[in-house]
Amino acid sequence: MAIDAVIIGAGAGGAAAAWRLCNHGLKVLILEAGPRFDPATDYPLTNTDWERTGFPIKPGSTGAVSYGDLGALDPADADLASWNAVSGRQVNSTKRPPSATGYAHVQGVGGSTLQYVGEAHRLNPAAFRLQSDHGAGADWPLSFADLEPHYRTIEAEIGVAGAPIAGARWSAQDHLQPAHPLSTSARVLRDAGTRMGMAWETNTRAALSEPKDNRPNCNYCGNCTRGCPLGDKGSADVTFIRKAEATGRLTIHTGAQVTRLIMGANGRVRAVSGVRDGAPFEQDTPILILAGGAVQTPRLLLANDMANGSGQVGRNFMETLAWTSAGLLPGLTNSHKGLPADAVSWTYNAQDAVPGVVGGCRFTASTQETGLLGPMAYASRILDGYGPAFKAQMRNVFGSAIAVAGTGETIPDERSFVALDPQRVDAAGVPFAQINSVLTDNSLALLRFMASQCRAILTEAGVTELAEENGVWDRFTSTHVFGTCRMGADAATSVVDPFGRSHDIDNLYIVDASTFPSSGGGEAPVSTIQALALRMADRLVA
Amino acid sequence: MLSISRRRVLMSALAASLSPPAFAQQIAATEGEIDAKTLAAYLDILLPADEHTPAASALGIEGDIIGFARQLTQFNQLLVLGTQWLNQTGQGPFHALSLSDQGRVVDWMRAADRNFIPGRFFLLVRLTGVEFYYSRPEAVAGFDLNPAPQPAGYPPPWQ
Ligand SMILES: Cc1cc2nc3c(=O)[nH]c(=O)nc-3n(C[C@H](O)[C@H](O)[C@H](O)COP(=O)(O)OP(=O)(O)OC[C@H]3O[C@@H](n4cnc5c(N)ncnc54)[C@H](O)[C@@H]3O)c2cc1C
Ligand code: SF4
Repeated sequence: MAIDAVIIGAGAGGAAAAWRLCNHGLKVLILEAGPRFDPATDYPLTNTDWERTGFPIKPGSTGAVSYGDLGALDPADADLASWNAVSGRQVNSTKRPPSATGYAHVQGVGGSTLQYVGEAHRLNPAAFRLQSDHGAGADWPLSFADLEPHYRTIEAEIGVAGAPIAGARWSAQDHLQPAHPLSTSARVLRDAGTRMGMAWETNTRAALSEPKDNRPNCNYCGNCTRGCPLGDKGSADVTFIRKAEATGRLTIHTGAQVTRLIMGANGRVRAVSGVRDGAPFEQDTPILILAGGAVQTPRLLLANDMANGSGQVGRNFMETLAWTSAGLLPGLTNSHKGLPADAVSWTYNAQDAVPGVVGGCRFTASTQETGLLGPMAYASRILDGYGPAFKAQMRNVFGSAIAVAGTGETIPDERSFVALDPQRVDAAGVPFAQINSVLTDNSLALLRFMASQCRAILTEAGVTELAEENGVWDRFTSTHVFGTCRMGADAATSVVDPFGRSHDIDNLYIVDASTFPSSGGGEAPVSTIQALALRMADRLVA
Repeated sequence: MLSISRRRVLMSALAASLSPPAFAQQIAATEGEIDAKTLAAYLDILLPADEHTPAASALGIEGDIIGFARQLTQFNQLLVLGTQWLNQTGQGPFHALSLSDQGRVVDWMRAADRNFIPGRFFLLVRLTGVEFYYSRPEAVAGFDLNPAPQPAGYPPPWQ
């Protein structure tokens, strides 16, 4: 089959690029290491033991990732420890370990969007000038205005619902679906935050409030991270992949892990090779687009020693700061019902919004997102005790849990990078991607601000005793990762140009989260990854 | 933040909880079997029957825990040691003690130092017990919950 472009990875960026290129008339092949997931049969939300299960793991659906230096835990920072009312402190160690999920990701058609919550954010327009305005990290080699039309296309195609406060970030929003109703706990948090002088609004969500493209509207089961069985969540498999396949120009090979990038005679990539369902394969391509994510894309480039004239491949790794505080609020009911992350506050999102810190953060209603959705979570995390009184109390308090989360920015640091693991190799003989990520004093100060703000919001809401706190100080957990193939205008300090094209190899492009020069102040990244992918695709055919 | 498989979370919590050297030593030399009857009686003190819901043993939760422990040697050893310890707390095995004596033992364990067998056994068996118990539809009678989040979901309005 004659192919115009090969894309490695069917996640957020790869799917959006494939859709756009197919619409431009190109024949595209996606090589995807993971399997397909069937929303109707693979997600466990109709089983009565649903609470014991998470997002399903299938053969090949997790990547080869290990951890190097994640930093030390200074007892002086113990106010940032994770704990809950049942088990107490979660980590007793002198070093920061990875959590059970660590770098949270899915390999499969849809990539990590299969498991994502579906927040659909635009970057703060000011976030593109981190170095110029704040003397830290790097600037983006493009502006918000360059991405704005692509954001709009993505939101309209996926079906994003919301009613954000109008401003530079959302000058027009007529293409959005009506906002989702706020859950009971989100209303309480919004009111409490407002009394504290914060601006709260309905979150922009890639979850349908009205049917679209044969996808139904959300029925508010609250379990987006377990996989949405209805398909109303805008994961890449039911949106861009489905639309690209409908053009007849997209082919997807699942279970196909690319391990080698093969150069041609003219300084261009000629082909890729790897292992598909246990058998070796090789595929020629005129254009190669990497979309393996900010951990696997640098791994592939480092393992092939390619596109690294700048020495920046794997460097500038940015994890995301995360903090959640939770408690029980007498009188609150039904807090397990509704859409996760339904309300958001951007008050502290600008890079200078938090005194003494470079980098922003945002706050989200997170009762459902943190999994306080069923009795198992209550009994094992936030309500201690046993015997008849405990069982009666479980019934009395169920539905009154309330949680608020902060999500914040990290600034690139030389101790945070993805490298090839010196010891471990996968079944195909490729070294694991080893994540090294250390929280700087700046990160700790921002995390501390997020924690104190979350506590204050819950207090203002009427919570008298906290029942659980989780943060990244004592456990590396990152759903949003960035920066390992930084985009920039200067080939000496960046890996790809402002359109995602390698500075070193003309027909090699990158369209995943690895190209972000900075992360923004806690914005969820998928919309930006996909806007960049569309921009790259348009440039490629121009 | 995330919601991931509770099984994975539990496995890693148990492994972390049982791995510190001082504690690992206490359970390393353990031999014998878990006393299933004692474990069942112990779980019934934690999760007894009431007017809405059955006791843990009526749902076979001790069997679920024993099956789960087969995948994690150290947890299995803790259960062996813990049930042996329980059987030495009174005259005869724990499951043969009166309910009030059983209750007194569990009260003491709850307050015990968690770096030693009784306290750690209390914490981890409670944790696994409530996970298995509340995953059973019979245990959630009286809660405002669908049997599962789908297919009905929770359409608004919510008060
Ligand atoms: C629990 C959770 C919640 C989240 N919530 C949100 C949210 O609400 N909003 C938001 O915007 N973001 C959210 N995210 C983050 C978001 O999902 C990721 O940032 C995004 O999917 C990253 O896109 P990507 O294209 O960089 O990589 P991915 O989506 O991870 O896709 C990479 C794909 O490439 C494939 N691949 C990698 N290497 C190879 C190889 N060598 N050969 C073949 N295939 C390969 C992988 O199998 C994978 O399918 C969440 C993430 C998680 C885990
Ligand atoms: S809350 Fe809505 S979007 Fe999320 S899984 Fe349930 S039905 Fe899907």
